[in-house]
Amino acid sequence: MGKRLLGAALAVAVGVTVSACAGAGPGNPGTFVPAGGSGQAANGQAAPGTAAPVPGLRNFAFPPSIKIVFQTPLPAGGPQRSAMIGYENYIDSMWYAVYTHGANTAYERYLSGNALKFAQGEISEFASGDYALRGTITYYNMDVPQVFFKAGAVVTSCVDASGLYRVSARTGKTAGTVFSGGFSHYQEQASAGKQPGGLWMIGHTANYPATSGGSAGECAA
Amino acid sequence: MMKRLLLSAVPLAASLAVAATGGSASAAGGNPPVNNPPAGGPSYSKTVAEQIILGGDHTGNGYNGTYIPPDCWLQPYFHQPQSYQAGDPSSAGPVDADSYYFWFGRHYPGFNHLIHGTGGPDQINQDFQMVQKGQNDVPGGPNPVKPDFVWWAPDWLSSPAGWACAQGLTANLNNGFIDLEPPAQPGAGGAAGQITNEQLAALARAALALPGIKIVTSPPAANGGPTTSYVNLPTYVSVHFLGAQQPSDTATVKMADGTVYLTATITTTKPTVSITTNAPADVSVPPQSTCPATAAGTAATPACSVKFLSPSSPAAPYVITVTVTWVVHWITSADPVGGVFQNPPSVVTAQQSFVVKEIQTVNGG
Repeated sequence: MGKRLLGAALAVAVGVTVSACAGAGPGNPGTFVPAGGSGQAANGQAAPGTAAPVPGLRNFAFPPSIKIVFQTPLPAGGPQRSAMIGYENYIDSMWYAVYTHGANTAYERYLSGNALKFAQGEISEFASGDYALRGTITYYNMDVPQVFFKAGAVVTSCVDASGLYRVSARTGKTAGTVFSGGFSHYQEQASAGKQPGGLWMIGHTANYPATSGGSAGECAA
Repeated sequence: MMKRLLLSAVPLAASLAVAATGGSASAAGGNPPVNNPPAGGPSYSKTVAEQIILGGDHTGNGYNGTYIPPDCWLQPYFHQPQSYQAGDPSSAGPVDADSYYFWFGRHYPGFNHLIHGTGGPDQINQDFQMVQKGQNDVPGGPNPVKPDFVWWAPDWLSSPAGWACAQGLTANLNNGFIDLEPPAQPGAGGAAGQITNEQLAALARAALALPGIKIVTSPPAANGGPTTSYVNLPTYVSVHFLGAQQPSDTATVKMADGTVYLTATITTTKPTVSITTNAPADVSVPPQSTCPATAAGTAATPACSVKFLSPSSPAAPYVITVTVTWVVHWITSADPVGGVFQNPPSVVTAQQSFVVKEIQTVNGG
């Protein structure tokens, strides 16, 4: 059963990755500011005083007002670790593209299929610049329950999206959560595949509200 | 096995139109896409490439995950003589291996990143043309490529595991979305992922439609409500099957030219029936556990009965549960012996409530 992340302090747990960096403008990765996780700078170099970069894991320079939190440590190795890194890249790159109003297109490297369509839909809602992204979205109870032929895997994650908001770029007022009520807490089941270069890409996703029961019920608030 | 037959896919993949793969993108409401049954439920709407042909008493809406069908598999689509024809890729669809390659990339763009190579469409066409001529440009590979060589391609269940499995399968194919292999014994399972007898049989079983049942009692129930019965008097119980009493179905793998590669046939035994109740009661079922089936509108017969030993309370009618169980056998065209599915059992249940009263007698003496 997942616990809500209550603050950045919890992110110091070994292996927890927090993609929260400071100083960069949209589409313009900036200096990494340690947020307590095992992150790396957006340019792929470890920032002073931080853990070594995780090979394959891309970091994005989010402002302090946006936190993308992964509560579950990466698997120790094997396809499970690679698939989870692919999933985190998918998540980070998608939200970074949303934050940059579509200016950053790194997400195209990490997702395809209906996952790409989903990301494009989210990005398009912010593309006009009328709204900005703000708040925290937390991914927890993450797992890689199935691996196929060493090159495909299912990644499951609970998502707490109740703290991620769209705000008016003009007034700064909140215009609601990014996802509507049924998806404040949900389970995402992502299908990952190994690319010829070794990185894993998300090619398909399915999402179930926590209220729908079954395995998604573990994601209830 | 040919190695790296097609060298060219990444630029092609990038140029392919991005088509929806069954999932809906986030709409204006901002919800994540929901593509599958709620909570990863046990029913899959279809196989994604839709290349398994079902017949007989099969479900109209897919496969039941309770019976653990495979998540993905390779099945044969084309023989070597169907590798390429002038004008490929054809706008008529996947009529040969070359056209299938392009068709697959358009329909399932989530797989485009899995294929290797640096060439373009012309290079892909050239490679299929070589195979059409029986040539193999890979040193050490089978040469010539004979007409009974087979192009294999993935099919998978419309579930997260199905998509992931197919991605893993495709990443290991030598020729992008399709793979050329020497002939294999149907159903035996050759190269990794080729469909086996057991897998096709599992798909057929997962698609088998068991009939619903209706409990028929004598005295009869009133308009779908509870049956009224009396202490120490037997109530007869029969089963009305809302479909074939012994359902059977088939799953077939056909090649593009109509050649049947493999067929699995599922048959069921005459069902056995058990009756349980939450009431103090004597339940009578024949030793062979076969309560007679009844036709619609006919009365229950005495072979199976329930005799309640005490009255029910007004607020809590008694309930009987009738469970019908089938033994499910499989064979395939390549394995006429086949086998029997063990667990979980194939069962259908129904319940009927009873208001049980005591017979009041009045001594008029």
